[in-house]
Amino acid sequence: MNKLKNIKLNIALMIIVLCVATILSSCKKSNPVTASPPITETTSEQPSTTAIIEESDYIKLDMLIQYQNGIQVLPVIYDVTSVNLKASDGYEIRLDLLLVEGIKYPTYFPRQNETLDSPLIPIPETDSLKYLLCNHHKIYLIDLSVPSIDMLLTEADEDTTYAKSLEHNQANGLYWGTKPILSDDGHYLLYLTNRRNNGKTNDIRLYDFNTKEDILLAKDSYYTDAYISDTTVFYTCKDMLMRIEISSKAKAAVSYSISSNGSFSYPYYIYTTTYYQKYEILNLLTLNVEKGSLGTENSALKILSTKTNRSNTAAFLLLDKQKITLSFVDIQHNKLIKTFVLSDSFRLVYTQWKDNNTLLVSGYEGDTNEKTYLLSY
Amino acid sequence: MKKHTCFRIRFTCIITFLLTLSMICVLSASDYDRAFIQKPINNLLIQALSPYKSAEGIEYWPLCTSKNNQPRYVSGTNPHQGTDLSINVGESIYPIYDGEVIYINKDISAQLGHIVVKSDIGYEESVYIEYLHVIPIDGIETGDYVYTSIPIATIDEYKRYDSHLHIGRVNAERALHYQLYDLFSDTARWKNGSDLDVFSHPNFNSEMNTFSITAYVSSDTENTDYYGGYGRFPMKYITFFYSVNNGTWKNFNITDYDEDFRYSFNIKDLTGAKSNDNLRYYLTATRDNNSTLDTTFKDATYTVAYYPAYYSHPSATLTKDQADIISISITIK
Repeated sequence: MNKLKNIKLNIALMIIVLCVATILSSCKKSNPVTASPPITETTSEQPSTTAIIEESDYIKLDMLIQYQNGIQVLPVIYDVTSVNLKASDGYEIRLDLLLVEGIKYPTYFPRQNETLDSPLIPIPETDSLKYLLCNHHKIYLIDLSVPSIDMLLTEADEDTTYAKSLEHNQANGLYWGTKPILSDDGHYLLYLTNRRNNGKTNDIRLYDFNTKEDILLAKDSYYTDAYISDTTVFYTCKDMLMRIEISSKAKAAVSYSISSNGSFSYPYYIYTTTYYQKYEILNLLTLNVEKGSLGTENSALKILSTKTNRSNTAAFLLLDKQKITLSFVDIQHNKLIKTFVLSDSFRLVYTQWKDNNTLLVSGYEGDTNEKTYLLSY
Repeated sequence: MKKHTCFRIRFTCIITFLLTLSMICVLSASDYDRAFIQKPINNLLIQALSPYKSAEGIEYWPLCTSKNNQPRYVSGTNPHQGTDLSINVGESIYPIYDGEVIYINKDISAQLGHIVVKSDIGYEESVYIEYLHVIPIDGIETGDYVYTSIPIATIDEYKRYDSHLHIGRVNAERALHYQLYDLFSDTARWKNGSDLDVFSHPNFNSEMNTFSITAYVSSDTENTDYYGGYGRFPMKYITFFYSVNNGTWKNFNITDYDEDFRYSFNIKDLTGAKSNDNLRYYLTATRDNNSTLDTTFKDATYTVAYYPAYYSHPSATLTKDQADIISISITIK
């Protein structure tokens, strides 16, 4: 009898533990952000219903072409010099400089350079003299007028120094400053760091170039892509799109159902809802969502967007095993502008906006034949 | 003490003892299970693209923090079955070749989101590449065909491991790991792929009887020289094990290497083998746990990597039968 009672007690205890665990787990899932207005969805004219037109007014070249910061770096057509720079933390780099119309542009040759890990990001309105460089998870400021290099984000405070964070760091690294994103006017730098938490969770921080203030925007958060408007930081994280007001640091969700396979073109975020065919355009200010689809059910979508003062344009690359198709879409009106069908068996390497009107698509036809298309709308 | 309480304690003790015993048995038995395949691809036409790049396609070459086949002093496979790349949370990950998703684990609760992509790259067999500790992009399913220009995942946040990408080349069953270096042999930033595997680019010159191979490790724990020093550390020595005409297995150590961590020596001179002798060989690379550079490895007990890589956790020397399985046969000129 006692044994039976004991078994019953054990079962009751297990049920209680399971209930508590379930409650705790559901509590963890709830998001501590402020409520957002509901998203209204409207389906506009579907670009996919428009017949794909093959255009012939494109330029096709038998070579790989790559641009960085508006300058052609591959193949090399400009004179190249180099400069060696050393930061105060001991980091030494050799910068290759392209001489274009009397101005030196630093560049990055991905498969050759032994000291540089990533391209440089020009800081707007500095006459191409100041750049950001992210190397081994530290952000450096390069000033070509000196020339000099140094860590932009130094010690946060006495308790959070680089050396102390490194001491507590585990297997795969201290990310002191990564994923730099600049505002269009060069006023703000958004970045991620796990220094406060000794190599564990990341924080989102904002550096103000005018005041030199380094602001903690969100603890234990991260982003995949972001855009900084005059007053607000918008960022994607998993299937969420969030906003943080810079002045108040108030955080709110814009959407819980986006994909990180997308692109900002303020005030829009355009993204794929599946890997294939379908996309959505979210207006970050009105929360209106426009839907569309392109190509066939086998067309994987790659999106690159651009914007001018008057328009927002997305370039959709539709990839399937047979061919690549490029469609330009007017984001504001969700309308197809123009479509190009590229050659068969094309292996894409570079996809870049050469300017606001022309997309460069570069890669290999067959296995090894280099090809570049310059396609304008 | 009540009778049922005594029974419960005894029962728990017996179960714990049996579990411990079975774990010990499994661990010791699995040391010589096969975990690796060493089968280099020579003259590969299509070099892989980096899994980490900008949306525009400009490739980045992140620091390798733990190489494939590397003896380690951290938890996880030892030697390491795959390569760790230092990439922070949220970064997009791209497949290194176009191909079909043959396996996907979307359960990210333990930071074990996982994708395997099968690619045909003009080589005699398909290449399977795995991406681990990631969050698969919404909408990707098994059977989908994915492209190098579109991200398949983002790096997951810290749950059990610091955020990073574990990348490996596996077989179709995802049980055995191949070397990775030959897929990136044109990438200077990763020392022509050598940053990814402990042993790389072996070469036997049959005319001169010379043998050369690159061997070094990367840091896999905190190290103040780690960032400035790119995490590359020399081996204490490599050991050449050989058997001439099926005779007794012998060995010698090589300690000299060049600035690219390449070891070169004349097999005929050092083994005493004669022309037309058949010679079988394998190598070990011993990690230096007294290194003043690679200081964080000093207490590790397991220190060797094998070429050819084969066993899951072999000891520093092999029995004749174990050696026979992995050895490579050459004829001395």
